[in-house]
Amino acid sequence: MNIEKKRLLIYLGLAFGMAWLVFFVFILTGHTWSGSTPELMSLVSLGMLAPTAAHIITRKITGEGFRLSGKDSMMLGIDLKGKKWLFFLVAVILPVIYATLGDIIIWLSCPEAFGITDVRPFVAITYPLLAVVSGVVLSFAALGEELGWRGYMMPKLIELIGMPKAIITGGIIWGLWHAPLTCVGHNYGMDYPGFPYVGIILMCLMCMALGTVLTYVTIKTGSIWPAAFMHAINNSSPSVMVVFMNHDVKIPIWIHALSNIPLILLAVLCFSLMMKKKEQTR
Amino acid sequence: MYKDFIAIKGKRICIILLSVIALLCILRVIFPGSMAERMDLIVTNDAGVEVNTLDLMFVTLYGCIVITIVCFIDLWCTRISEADASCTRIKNYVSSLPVAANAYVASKYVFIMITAYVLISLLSIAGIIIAAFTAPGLGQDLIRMCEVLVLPVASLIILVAAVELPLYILLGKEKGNLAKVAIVLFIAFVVIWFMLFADMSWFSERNEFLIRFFNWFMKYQTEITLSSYLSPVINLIIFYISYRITVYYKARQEA
Repeated sequence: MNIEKKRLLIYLGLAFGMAWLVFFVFILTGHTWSGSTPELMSLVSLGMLAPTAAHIITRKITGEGFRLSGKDSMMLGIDLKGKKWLFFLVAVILPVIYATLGDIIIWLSCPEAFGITDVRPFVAITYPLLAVVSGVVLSFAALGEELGWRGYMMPKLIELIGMPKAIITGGIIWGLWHAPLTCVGHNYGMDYPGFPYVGIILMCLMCMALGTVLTYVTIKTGSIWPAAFMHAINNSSPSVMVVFMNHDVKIPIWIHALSNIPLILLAVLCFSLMMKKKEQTR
Repeated sequence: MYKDFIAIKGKRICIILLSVIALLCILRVIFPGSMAERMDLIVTNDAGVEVNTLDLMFVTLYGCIVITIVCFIDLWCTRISEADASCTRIKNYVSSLPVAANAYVASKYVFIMITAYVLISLLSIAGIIIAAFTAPGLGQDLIRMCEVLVLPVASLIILVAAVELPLYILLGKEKGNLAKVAIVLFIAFVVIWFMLFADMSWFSERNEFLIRFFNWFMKYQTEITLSSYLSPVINLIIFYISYRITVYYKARQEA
């Protein structure tokens, strides 16, 4: 077996094993996502640190070293030269844009989902900024995932199977990693046709789209930091429309799927840019 | 930056800090809030509210760690500059390098930024673990308040560094220490003046003050949460202004 393939398998075994251990303890103690306290949800979210732990352990086992930047490194370095800072800025702004566009799609398809009117102006104005700041400052959980997925798995996959296949395979792996939580209602709830398989498939598609954008910013900057910030802001729901959302209204899963269209379009753009670059280097 | 990491005895500090936080988290997992009843650690206060003292103990410990870490930054700023000032060889070596003043200053500021990010992350992880094993009630409300307030308090690290780094970089260790003592004395005088002439009745009724503070927090929870999350932005702006000022004067010094 190819050495890179072996390394990747060790990493995946550890990343899935450690995270799923946390997720299964949560599930087997009878918890569901919607029935849990915010404190317990936060505790389970610490499973997001598993890919980083897996990355570090794999490097220790395989003797790959712990270089911070450059080729075959952990991609923890930050280089802002050559307009690379622009990608950091874009990574912070993009989630706000596509999340807001996604919520507009939900609003157009299901207007009753946005019924809250007694929102204080201070809250409405500062909410997106709050999501961005909390995303960046408290990005350790997202960094935990990105250091593993974009910092280790994607470079290995790209090397092994090439760009288009790596994006698809990476997205499926990332989506399946979330599967135990999707089965207890994370992201889409538990009350939808085809539960939980439809949810898992949608999660894989969403991971594929988001993964493409995150891989693009990681390749362009040679650092996993913009991807970590983008992932963290994406998770903190930065759309201002969230404050007007009536959480008692159940949004059908197909509307959730439609709300991913802006992200998918962005992913297609990033994918074509990556392929164009690949053609040019040939 | 690696030199700065060595200067503050980074490896030792990392091991101590991680051990303390890991110990706190392990103890919390072994002694969750739900165990307090079996250990006879639930008391009823004057207002007739049941208080879980086990949870209170962990919340207090967590608060102490947060405050201690902010104080540590003060020491680290001193150590970073001491290391450069005390070793002439390092000083000469750095000044002979073909780097601009801003590169040298930036390395100090970036180091503090990374430290602040790591510390905030560590404190947040500890907060999440402590909160998850706290029983519902006053203890849980308090830890939720702590989790909200940990961000502005921990980001004080950035503010402390924004004041101290220019002093040490521009004035050197001895003058920097003198300037710092002057600032601390000034703050001490303000506090003494406040204690002598301002209304300090709240201090003698600490419990009542804490309950009033807690009620105020619960009333304006949304606004306080938003403000506390935005506080690092303000601190970062001050930090950046401090960096620009330091670079400006450092360049003039070198010229």
